[in-house]
Order: sequence, then structure tokens, then C-alpha cells
Amino acid sequence: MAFRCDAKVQCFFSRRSYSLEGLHVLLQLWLGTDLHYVFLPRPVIHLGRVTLMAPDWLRRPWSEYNAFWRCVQAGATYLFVQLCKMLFLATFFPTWEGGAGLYDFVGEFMKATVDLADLVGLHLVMSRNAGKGEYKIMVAATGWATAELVMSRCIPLWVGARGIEFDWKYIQMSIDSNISLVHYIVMAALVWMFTRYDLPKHYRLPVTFLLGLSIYKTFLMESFGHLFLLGSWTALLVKALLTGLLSLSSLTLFVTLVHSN
Amino acid sequence: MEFVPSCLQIPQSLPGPAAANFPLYNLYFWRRGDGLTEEAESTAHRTPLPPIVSLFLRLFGTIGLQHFTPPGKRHSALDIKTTSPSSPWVWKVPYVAVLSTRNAVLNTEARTLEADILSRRCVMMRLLDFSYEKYQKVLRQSAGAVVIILPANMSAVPQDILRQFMEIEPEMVAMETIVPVYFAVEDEELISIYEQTLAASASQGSSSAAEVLLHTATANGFQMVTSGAQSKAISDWLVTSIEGRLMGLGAEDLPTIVIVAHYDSFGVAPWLSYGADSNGSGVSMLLELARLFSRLYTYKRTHAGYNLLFFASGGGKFNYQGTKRWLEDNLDHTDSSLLQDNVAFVLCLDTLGQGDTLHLHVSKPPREGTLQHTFLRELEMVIASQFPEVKFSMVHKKINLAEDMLAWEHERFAIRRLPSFTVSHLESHREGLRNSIMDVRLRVDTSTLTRNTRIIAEALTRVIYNLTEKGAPENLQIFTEQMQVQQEQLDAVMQWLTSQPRAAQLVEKDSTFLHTLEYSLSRYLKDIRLHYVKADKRDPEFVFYDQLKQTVHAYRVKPAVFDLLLALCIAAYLGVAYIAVQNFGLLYKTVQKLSLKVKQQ
Repeated sequence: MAFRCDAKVQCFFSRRSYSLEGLHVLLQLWLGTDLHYVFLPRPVIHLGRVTLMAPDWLRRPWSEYNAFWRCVQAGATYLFVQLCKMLFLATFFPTWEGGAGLYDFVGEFMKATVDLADLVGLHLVMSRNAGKGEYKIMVAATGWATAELVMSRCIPLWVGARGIEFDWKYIQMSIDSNISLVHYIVMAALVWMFTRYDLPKHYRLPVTFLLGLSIYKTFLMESFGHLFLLGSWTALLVKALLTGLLSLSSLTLFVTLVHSN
Repeated sequence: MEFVPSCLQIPQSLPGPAAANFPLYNLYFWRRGDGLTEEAESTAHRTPLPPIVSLFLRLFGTIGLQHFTPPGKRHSALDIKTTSPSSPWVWKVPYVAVLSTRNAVLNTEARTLEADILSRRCVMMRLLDFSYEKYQKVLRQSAGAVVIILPANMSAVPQDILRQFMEIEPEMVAMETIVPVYFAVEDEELISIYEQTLAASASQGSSSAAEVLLHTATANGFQMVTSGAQSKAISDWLVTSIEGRLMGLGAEDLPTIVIVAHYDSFGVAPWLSYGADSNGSGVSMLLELARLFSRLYTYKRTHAGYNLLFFASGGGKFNYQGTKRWLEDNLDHTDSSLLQDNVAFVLCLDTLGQGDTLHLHVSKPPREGTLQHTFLRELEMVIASQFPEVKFSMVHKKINLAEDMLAWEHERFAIRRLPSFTVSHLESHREGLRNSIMDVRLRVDTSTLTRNTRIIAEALTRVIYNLTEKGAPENLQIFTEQMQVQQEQLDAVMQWLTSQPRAAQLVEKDSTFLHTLEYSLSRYLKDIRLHYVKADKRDPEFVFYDQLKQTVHAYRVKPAVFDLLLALCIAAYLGVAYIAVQNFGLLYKTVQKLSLKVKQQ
């Protein structure tokens, strides 16, 4: 996008002329047209100057090459994948009609297996982005986790925590969303490692194992909760520990893989 | 032959007062007891719940949303309106009654008596800790509201506490308070709320700063909120009475015996007044007598020369309004009625389900030679010969016209110069039991009630058939075998009567209670008539108010310090997270070094 930098702008109040800057630059960027000679009030020009210092994704939101846009893409992919999963679940999985106190282990296991689609989705996001491994992983995971947060946690938080009732569960939910961010970063990293064509043979097994663990983590956690009747805080702690363990081992694998060649 | 009407065959498992099937969270609100309250002044509503400020906290690019309120504002709440059965904080209190002359809108924090400051708080007290001094103290400190928690199981309450409460009850009714007083039947949730409030109230002021801090994070306070509307006087409330008769065999001008019992109950909280002994026992005895005499009157050989007039009167606790109107209708407005012509005597049944005493209350001792006197003598004879364990006496009390309320129902008749008396196991009309919410099913012993029914039935029969003069032996037992007084029937009727509160304000004209009563009377009696009383528009003798039950929401709240504490914790968490992300490189390097070392080995 080319625009001319030598155009003069006269300030409406001071009659002083500024070189084209600030808001004009932004407007040019956004609208894609040249602005040659426009009267603008001084505060507006100041606003433009300040805005120029804004991050890249704010200045050029519609560029295909910034991280923000890619995160949005990842979020869209998340939505698509979830829709596919839901359709699949609704078609092939009957609703569990057992007793209220019972836990349907087999059904839940099968449902967790459907989460394999998440891996495919993450891979899809990463394969569409060019760049270094860390960059791809971060973009995919951040977009994915944000989409998940918006879709599954925002409304309960907005409705519940804003209400007059105080409950610790909203605090727990917030901490849980932090944990799930780490979880998705780990998952993205594992997918990235798994789909590398130059992955050494002896890495294949641990990476696959960790991938499986990350997929069935929720299922394991819930089964644990039902078996040992964990309290909500304990369950959260166990989840954090499990995720920490998973992330540490993945980090080790990642580090050795990246720095081995 | 079974004479139990189908509508009265109530299963024994029918929920009693403690477990009656009322909608959840209906707490009942009641105005002053005599129903003669002046128009309530309007109270300014408190400010509504403050808006909640929420902040988005950004974290790692993920958004962690925290609920946050400015300190000092309501923070957290427990909404007992939630009907979700899974919620652990559903307050399933079926009944609460309020006693106040003012609007019962309430929005205050809960406290127990142990707290130092009670003003503008909702004071919760259990019946076990209740005393008049404490009640007075609470009112003097201008509490926002009083919640009196009644035990679900009245039988577990010591007798002296019950007696004490029954003594205070009329005072509470009569006393004008600006403080709304609620009555609630305890259950697990309410007890848990009470105990948490108790812990909070007890720990106030006498602990270290650290303890207070810990306490704010763990303990819950409770904000009690009602959303009741202003209570209004109900106009055109009809008080219903039911009359039925058994006509005697013989000439036109037969003497009439009138048997009367009022069916309504009274207590400080109308929705909690089941009136088992007073006067459920009287009504069930009336029904049993109707059944027995209807059987006698069906056969020509046993058809006596007396008319029997049965009357279940309404508004008995409000100066016998139903009886008063009935008498006016019969004596003043009509030309001929059974009451006008030849009344032998009027027998009022009141509070007969307990104890080994029987008293015949009269306003004028019966003269020799009257049927009244005969009945008294027969009663004495039956008791002396067949039931020596019963202590019988006649109590003479003149009618005090200067008093607002008549003492016994027979005084209504005595004023109209009808020979009348009341049978009761109570010695004085001032007994608290007659007007108490403590008068529940447990207070009536069915075998005692059966025995008393038997005594009265035997005495009545001896009068009606003139058995003594015919030379029947003193210990002749008439109501035995086929004709015996059915204890199951009495029990079933008692169960039915006490399965619902029967305060005069609650028994509607078209209520199932009245329909059932009418139906069961019509099974035995003929010529059933309903009589209605409506208070005079200009100069009402009684006024009932609505809003007898109200929902109280108990919101779980945390003090303002808790907000501050929580904000600090969140800030600390964010700080730690920020530092961790900033120094992630350190971890990365460490892992790199370690893995290299492993490789080199």
C-alpha cells in the first residue's frame, strides 16, 4: 500500500502545517487512499500521533501478516472444529441415560477420543502459518485458547460473577482458564513436533504418549474426581499439577529437538 | 357397617404440620392478632442492590475475568429463590409468619442474640433460647426484623419452654411493634444459616486481627431480603359456619338440643396455627356425635323426641362472630326456627383432647328441674360410675360485658337467654393453649378424646331418652360394640383437621376444608345450611389483612474487608504470573542445559 508522505496538512486551529502523520497515516492505511490536504483539529492530530505508537495489529488490523489476525483465524478454526465435533457427537453418541450418581466411563472415554479433532484443527492452523516453530505454536495456542475462553467461559462468568451471588467457583474458573492456556500451548507444541518430517524415530513414542495424555487429560481428571470424590479446589490443584508435569516433559522434548540439530 | 366417610379416610402417613406439602419458600406474614390494625404507614424502600462492577483482567493474552466489587458493597449472595435442587443453598423453609404493623419489606444482615449490635439487623433466635426478656431486648435495640425458628419436631421441646411461649404469645399478638417478626419452621438449611450466623455473631469483637481476617475469608454472613408487598385489609371476607340437624320424632314443638363447636384456630402466625386441641378436638367430637346420633335416629325404636341441631361455627377466635350472626339470623330475622321455639340447652364443645379433667363452664348455675340441670347430673353420674379417673367440676363465670372478648362460646347464647354451657378440659378461658401455634397434633391424645366423646355421648343419651327416670342402671353402657365411639374415625378427623392451618383468615368460602366439613356433616345430618358473616363496612368488628406469608431470601454475603483481601490476592497472582512469563527464559535455559548434559553422558 503506497501513500505519499510529502503531503501537507494544515491544522484547523493553528494554521500551522504538519507533515502527513498521525491520523492521516492511519486513515490512509485503513482506507487505502491518499489524503492530500485535509483540515484536522489539533487534538485529532495528536490522537493520530499517539495511535501510531499503538501495536501493529491495532494499526493494521486487516493485514494478513500479523499475529492478531492469525489468532483470529485460529479461533475461527476452533469454532469450526467444535461444530464438527458436536455434529459427530450428536449423530453417533446416544445420550447417557444412566443414574444420576453413576459415571459413564466408556461413553466419556469415547467422547474424549473425539477430541482428537482438536489436534487436527491445531495442525491445520499451524500448517497455514509460515514462520518459526515457536511462533506457530504460540499463535495457534493463543488463538485456540482465547476462542475456547470466549465460547465456553465468558458467558457463565459474565452472568454468574456479575450477579449478586458470590461463589468461589468463578475464581476457580478463571484459574482454570489459565491452566487451559498452558495446556493448549503444550498441545500445539506436541502437534508441531509430531508433524515434523525430520522428527527422529526415538522421539515418536514419547511425543505420541504425551499427545494421548493431553487429549485424555480431562477424561482422566473427571474419572479421578468421580472415583476419589475430589473437592473442587483439590481437583483444580491436581489439574494444575498434571498440566505442569505435561508441560515440563513437553518442554524438555521440544528443547532437545530444537537444539539437537 | 362402616361410617367413615370416604373423604375422611385419610391415610396415617398424611403429612402432618411439620411436613405439610406447601410450596417452597413461602414464609408467612401476619398482622396483629386481633385483626383490628390501623392502616399501615408506608415505609421507604431501601436502596436496591448496588450495581456490580466487573473488571476484565488480562493475563497472558488470555482473559481472566474476575468478579469484583467496590469495598463496602454487597458482594456475595445466596439466593434461596433458586429452585434448583442441586444447589446446596436452597432454603426450604416452608413457613414463616411475620408479625408487624408495618410494611414487612426487609433488607438486613442476619445476627443472633449473641451479637453486640442488633439495631437494623435481622435477629434470629431459636425457640429454645426464646424468652420474653430477650424478645423485649431485641425490640428495644430496634432490630430490623426478628426471625423465630420453631423446631420441626414439637415433641422434642421441653414442656416449660412451650408453656412459656404460650404465655408470651398473646402479648406478642397484642404488642404493637414496628419490627417485623417472622416465624420459620426449622430445617437443615435454616439451621445451617443459623449456625453460621451464630458463629459470626459470637466471634465478633473478641478475637485477634488474624482470626478476623481468616474468618472473613471462610465464614458467611447472611443478608435477609423480603420482597413482600404492603399488606392490605381484605374487604368482604366471608366467615362461614355450617349448620345441620336431626329432627326428633313426635309432635311439632319438640325441645331442641344444640351442639356447637367452632372450627377455626388461632395463633401468633396464622399459617402455623393448626389448632389441634382448640378446637380440632371439639369439631371431631361434633362429627362423631353427629354420626352416633344419626344412627340412633334412623331407627324408629331409637328415634328420640328431641331435635338435635349441630353447628360448626366459624370466626370462633374472633369473638364468636359466626355464632353471633347465626343467632341474629335465627332469632331476629326469621319467624320460626329451632332456636326460637324450645331450646333445651346449648352444648358447646371446646378443647377436649387432653388431660383427665372435665369442666362444665356455665354463666349461670342451672336451676333444679331444667334439662340443663339434668344434663349436668347425668354427666356427673356417667363420670362417677364409668370413668372414675376423670375429675369433673362445674365452673361458674359470669359474663363480663365490659370485656372486648367473650370468654366461652356459650356466653354468646347466654346473652340471648338460651340455656347453655361449654365442656372443656381447661379450667380457665385464659389458658394459652386456646390461642397458640404450639397447639399441634401432638397435643391431642386420641384415646382421651375418645373417652371424652363417650362421656358426653352417654350423658346426652341419658338425657334424650330420659334413662335415669326410666330406671336404667347408672353404669349402663350404651355406646359399645356396634355403636361404639370409633377411635380411628376421631383420629382420622383430627389428622385431617391438623393437616392445614385453619385460622379464620385462611379458611376461604370455597376452600376444600369447608367443602369437606360440609360434606362430612351432610353424610349424617339433614338440612345443611351455610351461614356467612361479613364485617360491617362502616364499623367493622374484625378486619383481616393479607400478606400472611412472605418469601425471605437469605443472601450469602462477605464483608467489605473480604473484597479488599480478594483483590490483593488476585493482584499477587497476576504479579507472580507476570514474573514467571518474563523469566521463562531462565527455565528454558535450565532445561536446555540439563538435556545437553544428559546427551553428553
